[in-house]
Amino acid sequence: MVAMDLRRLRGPGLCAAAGALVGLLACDPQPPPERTVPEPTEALRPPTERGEVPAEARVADYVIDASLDAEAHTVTGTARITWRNTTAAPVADLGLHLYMNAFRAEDTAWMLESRGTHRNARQHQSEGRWGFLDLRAARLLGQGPPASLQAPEGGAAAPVALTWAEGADPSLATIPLPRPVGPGEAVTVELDFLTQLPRVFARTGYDGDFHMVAQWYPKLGVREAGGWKAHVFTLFSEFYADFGDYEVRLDVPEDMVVGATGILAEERPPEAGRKQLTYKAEMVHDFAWAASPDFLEYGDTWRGVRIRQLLPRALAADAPAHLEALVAALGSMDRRFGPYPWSTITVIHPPRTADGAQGMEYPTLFTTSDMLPTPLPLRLLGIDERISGEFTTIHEFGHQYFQGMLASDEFSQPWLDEGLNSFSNILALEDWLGPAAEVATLGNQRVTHVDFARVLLEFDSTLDPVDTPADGFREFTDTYGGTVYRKTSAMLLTLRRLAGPENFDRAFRAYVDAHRFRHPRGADLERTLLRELGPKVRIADAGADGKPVDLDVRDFLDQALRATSSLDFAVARVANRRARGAAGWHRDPAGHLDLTEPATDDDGDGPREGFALVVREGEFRVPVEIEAEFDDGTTERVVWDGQARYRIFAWPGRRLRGVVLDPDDKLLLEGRRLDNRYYLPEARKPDGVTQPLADLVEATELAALAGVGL
Amino acid sequence: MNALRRALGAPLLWLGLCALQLGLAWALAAPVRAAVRAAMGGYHWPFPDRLVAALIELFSVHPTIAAALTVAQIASLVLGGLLALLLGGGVVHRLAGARGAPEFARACVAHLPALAAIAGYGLLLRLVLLWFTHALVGAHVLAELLALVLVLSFATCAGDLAAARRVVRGDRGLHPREYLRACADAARAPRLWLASGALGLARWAVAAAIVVAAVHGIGEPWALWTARGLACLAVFLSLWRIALAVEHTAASRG
Repeated sequence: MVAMDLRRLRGPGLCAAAGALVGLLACDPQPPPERTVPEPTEALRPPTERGEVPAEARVADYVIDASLDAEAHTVTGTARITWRNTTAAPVADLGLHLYMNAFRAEDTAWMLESRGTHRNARQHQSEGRWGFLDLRAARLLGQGPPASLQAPEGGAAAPVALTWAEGADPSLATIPLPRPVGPGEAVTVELDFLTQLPRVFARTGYDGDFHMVAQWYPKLGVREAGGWKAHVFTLFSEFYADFGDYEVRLDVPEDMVVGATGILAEERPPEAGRKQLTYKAEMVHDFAWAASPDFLEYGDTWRGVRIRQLLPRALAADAPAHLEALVAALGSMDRRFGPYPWSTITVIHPPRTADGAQGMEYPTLFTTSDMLPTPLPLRLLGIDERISGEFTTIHEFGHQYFQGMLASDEFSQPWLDEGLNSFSNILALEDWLGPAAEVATLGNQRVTHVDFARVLLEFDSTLDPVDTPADGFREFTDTYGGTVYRKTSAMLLTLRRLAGPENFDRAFRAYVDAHRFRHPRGADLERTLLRELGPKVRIADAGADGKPVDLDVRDFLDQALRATSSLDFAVARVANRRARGAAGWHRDPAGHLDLTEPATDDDGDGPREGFALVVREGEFRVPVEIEAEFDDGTTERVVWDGQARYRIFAWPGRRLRGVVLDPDDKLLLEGRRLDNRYYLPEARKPDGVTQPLADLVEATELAALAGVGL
Repeated sequence: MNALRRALGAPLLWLGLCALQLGLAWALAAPVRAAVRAAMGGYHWPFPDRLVAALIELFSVHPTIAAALTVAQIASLVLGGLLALLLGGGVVHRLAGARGAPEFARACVAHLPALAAIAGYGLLLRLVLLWFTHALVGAHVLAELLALVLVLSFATCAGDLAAARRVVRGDRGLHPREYLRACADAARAPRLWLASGALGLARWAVAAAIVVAAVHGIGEPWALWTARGLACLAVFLSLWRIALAVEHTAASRG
């Protein structure tokens, strides 16, 4: 019978069907047509739209001339840095970061900790193994009142040659000055440098024609009251610098498509196969750029902000999805945390072979990551996700606020950067996709943003406190991400739900508004939260003891930031015990023994009363709500302050069916949730896990048997 | 008597094999079910559409459940293969027209060694064909996929023919030369090969459909019943495919 059917399919029909199938499966989607939008004329949005940009925050200006040798993967340049001493004390030297030197040898602090790997990408072992920044000359161009240094290269005084010394780790250097820079004075120095880019495996470098040029020039640290805050570049430390204006002239091969921090202010006609591009950026603390001849460009605008995506052809089809995510993040953060101040944002999509460059933020520019391909079989299984590509776009854009604008010291308190940003990302997802935002699906199952924030929290965030400097985290413990990103985020989301979203959002906005274009510390955030929320947040007017239950905000922050305790409550036992009544022999007022018969209820079992044992299994102490469900279908809620190790709750005269902890899912810091709902055997419903999982296993076994049997 | 009629003519065989398969899958899932139930105790997860989070927590806290699940999956694959081997002789015997449970049992036992040898040769042939296919067209995923379907269906067809020759024609079936003759038979009968391949492919599609239904209906009663129904369909497709080889062998003998 089948043979007969096949006979009908012979000849052209069969060929056509096979051709159609092959075409369907092999067809490569065409990239959407490129789209450019006009370059903004100003680096910042108009004053009415950008919010406050304090002039005094401008401390370090850079004018950089740089030339890319795309064959040797080197950048040769000169950086003219004008730095203003905004401290109260004279400063005798300049502290510099030479971040690229982290990749100079195996014995740098970065390499010692990372052992040549970064987010699963490995250092290349042959060509392009090393990267470095060779400081070749330093000159003092001028020193004095800032107004006199507007154009130091035109000044009458001849440049003064300066010496410099690398630190114990080559990612640091110091330039002694001939005389100290007084408070309120400024100094301009000019530095010649050559940067060798490594083949990219850790944010910066090249891969073929693609060049991600980041942390590539000598960069000043931040002068604080105690001295220069210039840190050794280690595996988990990121970057810290002062705000300033940048003017960067890039000389690159003519065919390169370039994306950079700031706006393109000038492009000279190509000469001898090279072109010169001048970029300007205002009030930023870093400058990064990417160049590749293979980039396609997709532009758009959001409320006057120019959005520019640069993607290799193979990834171009992803541009609309990233744009949608970016616009969602822009809208959410602009509304929640104040106006986005710059006129542009550039998204770089590194090619798949350069995934080490993916997922990194720079002012007004970030790199995102590929969306996981979902071939037909995965789509049939209903597998979809927003984590690999779109979430990266949201996350890296979020860094424009934390720490692009709230430029905290990422070395000393990385949680202020990654943690606050992760928190803002969850809110952005919620704003974008609704309160039940899903970040991944599998068949009829979904992973919500809440699941995403909480999953495995219990297992990778309990060795180091959140408020640990970057070099306090060890690669071998694998706790950095869980602690800095996710525990911080879950902590803030928990506090937000306990204090009430409106109260918390107002307090957090006060922190953001007060520290735009500044270098806030953790203490600033804590102080603001305590001031705005108050030292105590009322959770219940009458708790389990009849007394009010408050959340002690200071204690909460201490536990969350400076301890390694985890938050975990469990319903340990639920039972309906015989009620204590008045039965038995008692003396009456006349002194005679009098018998009272025990009361019986309908089942002849006597009155019962419900008991529940709730245990605080983690060390983290926080109020928790308990919902009791009774056999008459009613429920009752009570709040426990969560301070003791355990508490027995009793409901006299009520028969319990079950008990639920944290019924409104406020405690996002609680990683283990399976033990939060307990039902008595007589009221027990299916546990919600056994049957679905066992059915799934049985079905997949049927599939296996169908596949291999007979 | 064509192949479909042979398959339809053995309803008890089909029902028996379905029952065996369904029972086996149920039994293999039972330890997982018991382990999860014990781990959950009286606790309850109230979000039927957010099981991923629950399962990640469950497997993290009770890694033995993940191990039990893996063992169950491997066991179903191994048992599926073993049962095919053990029952193969009886199935071919029944499709060739013999009736009665004792006959079926005797055929299962009597042909087991020869079918084991044929299965071994089939495994070897598949490995060789896989290697050649990968070497020749491995650079093109789609071409390799299509080639794999063709060569694997050829191996299945040859195996079915070798088993039918042993059971129906009384070949000894142990010598590799006999297996090669079956391969030559399959090569000389491209329509049989294509028909057998189409049924084999359909069976794989049904297996894939079971997974798709199971994943889209996690926690829903219809999903498991759909999977069971599809599994029975897969059994029938297998019987039909084997019947093609029996029919071909019987016809060539006649």
